[in-house]
Amino acid sequence: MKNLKVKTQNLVKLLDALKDASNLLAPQTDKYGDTYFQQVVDASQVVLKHFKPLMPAVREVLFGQLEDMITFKDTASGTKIKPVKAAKDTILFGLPNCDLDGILYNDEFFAKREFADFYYVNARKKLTIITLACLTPPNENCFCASMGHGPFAEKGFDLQLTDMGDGFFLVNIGSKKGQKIVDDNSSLFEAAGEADLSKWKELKQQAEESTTKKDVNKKKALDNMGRTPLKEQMIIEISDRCISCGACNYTCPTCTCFNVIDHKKDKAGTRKRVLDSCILGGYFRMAGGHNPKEAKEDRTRNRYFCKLLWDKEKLGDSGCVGCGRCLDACPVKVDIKDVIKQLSN
Amino acid sequence: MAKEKKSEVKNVLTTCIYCGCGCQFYFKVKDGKIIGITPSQSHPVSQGQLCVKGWNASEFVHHPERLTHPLIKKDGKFKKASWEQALKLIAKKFTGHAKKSGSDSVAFFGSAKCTNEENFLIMKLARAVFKTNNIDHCARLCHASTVAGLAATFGSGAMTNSIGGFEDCDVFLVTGSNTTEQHPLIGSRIINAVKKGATLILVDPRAVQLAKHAKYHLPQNCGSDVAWLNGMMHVIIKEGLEDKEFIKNHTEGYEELKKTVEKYTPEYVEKISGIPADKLAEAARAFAKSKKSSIVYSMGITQHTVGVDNVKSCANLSMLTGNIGRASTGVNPLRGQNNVQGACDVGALVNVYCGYQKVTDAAAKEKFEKAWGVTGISDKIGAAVTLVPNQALEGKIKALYIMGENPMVSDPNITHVEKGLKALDFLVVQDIFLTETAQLADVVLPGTSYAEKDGTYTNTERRVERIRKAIEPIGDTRPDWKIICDVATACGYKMDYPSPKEIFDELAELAPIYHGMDFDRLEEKFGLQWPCPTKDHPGTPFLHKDGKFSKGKGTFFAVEYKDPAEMADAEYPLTLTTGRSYFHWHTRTLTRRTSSLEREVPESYVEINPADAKKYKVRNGTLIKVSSRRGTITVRAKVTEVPKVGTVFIPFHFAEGAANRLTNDALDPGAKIPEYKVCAVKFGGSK
Repeated sequence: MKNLKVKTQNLVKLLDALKDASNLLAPQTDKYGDTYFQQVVDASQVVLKHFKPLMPAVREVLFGQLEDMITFKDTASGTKIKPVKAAKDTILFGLPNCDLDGILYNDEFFAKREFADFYYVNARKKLTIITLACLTPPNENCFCASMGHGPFAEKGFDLQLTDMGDGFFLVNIGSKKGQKIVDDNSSLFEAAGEADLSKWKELKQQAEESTTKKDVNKKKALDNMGRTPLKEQMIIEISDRCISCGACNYTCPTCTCFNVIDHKKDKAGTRKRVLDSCILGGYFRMAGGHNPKEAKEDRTRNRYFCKLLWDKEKLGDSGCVGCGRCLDACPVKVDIKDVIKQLSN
Repeated sequence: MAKEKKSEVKNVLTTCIYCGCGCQFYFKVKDGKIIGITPSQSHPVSQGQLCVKGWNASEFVHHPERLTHPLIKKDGKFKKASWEQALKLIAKKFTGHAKKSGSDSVAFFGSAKCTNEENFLIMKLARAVFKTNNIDHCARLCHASTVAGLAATFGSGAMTNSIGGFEDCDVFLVTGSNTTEQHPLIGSRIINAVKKGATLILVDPRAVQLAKHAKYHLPQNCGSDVAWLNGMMHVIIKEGLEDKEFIKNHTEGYEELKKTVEKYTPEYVEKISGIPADKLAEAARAFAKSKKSSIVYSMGITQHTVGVDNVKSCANLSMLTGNIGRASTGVNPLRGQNNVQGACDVGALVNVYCGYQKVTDAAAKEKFEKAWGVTGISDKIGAAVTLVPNQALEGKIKALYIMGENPMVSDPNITHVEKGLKALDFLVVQDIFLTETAQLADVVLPGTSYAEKDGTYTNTERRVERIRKAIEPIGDTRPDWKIICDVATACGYKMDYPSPKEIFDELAELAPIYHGMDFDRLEEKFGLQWPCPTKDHPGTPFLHKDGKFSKGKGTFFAVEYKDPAEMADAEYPLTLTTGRSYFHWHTRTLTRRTSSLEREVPESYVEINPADAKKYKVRNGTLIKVSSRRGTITVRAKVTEVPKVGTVFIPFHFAEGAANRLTNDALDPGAKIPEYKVCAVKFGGSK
C-alpha cells in the first residue's frame, strides 16, 4: 500500500474536481440538522468528519429500496421488453468501513456467484469508493471491531482517508481507480513520512479499541450459533416488542433480499424490485396460504440464524458487520448485540 | 472518466401520508422518480425510525393506475375530458342546483388526507361561494366525539400532551387504541416506557400486541366503557385517592360526578363490562397513585352512540386524579389520519370555521364575510357526512363534491350509502385513484399525490408540519388546492393563490390558534404545535398548563352508562367490532398498490375466538358468511385468541368482504359519529 497525505483544503479541491467529473455522493448536513449522502454541488459543504449514515451506502447506488428493472408492453407481435438505462459513473465519498464491508459482502452475494445480478454488476463497475476511517465510534451502537470489520479498512476501497488531526488526511491507495484519482490530481497530494505512518498506526489501534465491545466474542458466538439453542426467553421477549417495521432489514448493509413486482395497467407496465424484509410474515408465506414461519418469534429467530450462521455457511463470514444500524433504526430498541453476547459465553 | 450527463439526485424532507404520528422522512428522488425513503434522525417523532407503512410510503406514487386526466361519465361510461370541460360542467351543475333548490342542496366533503390549505379552501368554497355549511370530512367518523367531548370538558378538543412525553409516563391507561399497529411510533414509546418500569393498563376487547406488555389487560364487553370508567372513579373516590386540591382549584361539577359514580361498584360494573371487579379496582389504584398517568385512547372510545359520553368519562378520570396540565399526563386521543387534526382545525366541519369559531356566532360570521368579501354566509349548522346519504335520498342534497374520501368503503352501512350516492343528481370525486366512490361519480378530477405538492399537515400532537413537493405532477393532474381554486373561479368567485404559502397566511390570519405561524417559521424547526397565537410564541407542547383550562375551569360531566344501539341477541348472537390492520390504510386505496403491505394482508378476514369457532363449527382459513341486519359478507375465518369469547373482529379496509356492509349507522346524538365498534352479527347468510 502506497501512502500519501492531503491537506484539508486540498481535499476540498479534490472533491470539487471529482464532482465535475462524476456523480459525487457525500455526507452533507441539511438545514434541518440531518446528515446523509447527498449529491455534491458545493464541495465545501461535505462533512469531513467520520460519519455513519442511517441508510447504508450500498442502498445509494448498488441495491436500492425501489428500482425499475424493465418496462414491458404486450403487443400483437409479442411482449416488448426494454431494460432500464445503464448505471452512471458514481463516486461515494466518506463512507465508514462498515459500509465498505457491506458492499464487499453484497459483491460476494450479487456479483461473484453462479448468477451475477445484471443491475448490481453494472452499477458496481461504475462505482468508486473513498472511505473515511472512523477514529471514534460514530455512535454508541457501533461495535464493528468486535465483528472484525474495522473501523479502518484493510481492503476493498479505492482510496481510504484518515483524519490525522493536524490539518492533513493520510491517504491509502487501494486500487487502480484510486491511483488514477491521485495521478489526475497529483498536485494536491504530498508524500507521507515515517512519522505520519506511525501516528496513523496509533490512531488505528485507538480506534479499534474504542469500537470493541468486550462482551462480544465473534468467534465464540459464531461457533456456538446453531450448536447452542438461542435462549427462548430472549427471542420471545424481542419478538413481543418488535413492531414489524422492517427497519432492521432495510438499514442492514448486508440484507440482500428483494421482491420482484409488476406495476401494470392494461397491457403495459414496469417491473420493479423492492427491498424486502424477513420480519414480515408475507415474506415466508407460500402459495396456498401455508406459512412455515407464521409466528413472529420464528421470524425473529430466522433473522439471527441468517446473519450469524447461514451467511457464514454461504459466503464464508457472518453478515453482521457490527454497524449497529438495526438498533439505530429500531423503534423498540432491539439490540442484536444481546443475542451475540449470549452466544459469546 | 468519460463525461456523461449526471443523474440528478435529491432528498426532499416531507411528512408521512399515513397516521397522525406525523413522522418525517426524506424522499430520495433520482431523475424525477422516487427511489427510496430515509427517516429523519433529527425529527422529534421519527428520530431515525418509521413503521412499515412509512418505509413503504412511496411505491403507490408512480403506480400506473394513477388517474392522469379528468373523466366525465357519459351513458354510464367514463370518457377522458379536458380540465375546461370538467370544470364547466361542475360549475353549471353546482350553481344550477344552488340557484334552483337553495344553498343547502349542495354539499362538500373535505379530506383528512389532504393538506390544511386544501381543506381551508374547500371550506371557503362551501361557505363563501355556495353559502352553505354542508362541509364535513371523515373526522365525523373517527373523532367527532373527541372534538365535542373535550371541548365541553376542557375547552379544547385535541390531544392534550405530546408524543415526546410518552417515554416518561409512569402509568398508561390505553383503551380502544391498537397503538402499535395504528400509531406505531407512539406504540413503540409505550413499549419502551414499560421496559423502563412504567405500568400499562390496557382495556380492550382484543389481546392486541400491547396486551403482552400490560400489567392489567382488562377485556371489556364492547360498548361498556362508561361503566368501567365510572367504576374506576368509584374506587378512587371511595378510597380517597382523588386529587382534592386539583378538584377544588381547577374544576367544577365534582359533587354530581361523585353522586353518579356511587352505584358503579366494581361488582356492579363487572356485570356490565365483564371486567373482573378486583382487577378493575387494582388498575384504578395504580392509575390514581401515580402523578404521571396518561390516558391514551382512540376509536374504541369514540365510535359509539355514546362516544361523547365515553370521551367525557376519560376527561373526568384525568381531572379526578389531577393528571392533566403537566408533561407526560393528560387525555391523549390519537388522531388517525395524517391530517385529521388539521382538517378539523381549518374548519372542514359543519359547525365551525377555522380555529373552531362557531358558524352560529354572528361576530364570526361578520369576520369571515369581511375577510372573504362576501355577504350572506349561512349561520345554520350543515349536514354531517353521516347525514348526507339520507338527505340525498330525501332529495334535499342534489350535488355532492368529495375531495379525497371513499365513503363506499369507509362509511357505516355502505349499502345505504350507495343508495344515497346514487340518488344524487351530480357527484364529483377528486382523488388520485379510481376508488369505489369515484366509480359512482359523474365527474372525476385527478389530484396529485402528496409527493407532488407543497402544504402542511397537523399531526395528532397539534404539530403543524410541512409537506414538500419532490416530483412534478404526474400526467395532467393538479394539486388539490389548485383544483379547488379552479372550481371556485369557474363558479364565479375568483380564487387565486400563487402557492400554498399564501393560503396558509390567510388561514393564520383568520384562525387564532395558528395566528403566529407562517411557512418561514415552520421551516426553522420541525413545525410548531398550536396554540401559537403570536409570531414570537414557541408553540404549545401540552395544553391546560397548571390546571388552567382553555375554558377556565374544567367541567366534570356525570354520565350514566347506556347500552349500545344494537346488542347481540338470540338471532344475531355475536358482537362485531371493527378496526384497522397494521399493514393497510383505511380504504386501501394506497396500500393495495404497495406490494410489501398488500402481501401481508391480501384479503379481508374475521377474527374468531377458538371457543366460538368450536361452538359454531368454523374451521380456520375457510371462507364463511357473516351477516348483520344490514347485510352479508364472505370473509376468511381467522381463529385466534385475540378477540374475547363472543366478540368477532373484521378490519374495514376491504371493498371485497367489506365490514361496513354489516356495521350499524346508528349515531351519537351530539357528535353524529356512527357506532362502528358494536353491532350484532351471526355466521351464515341472512334469511
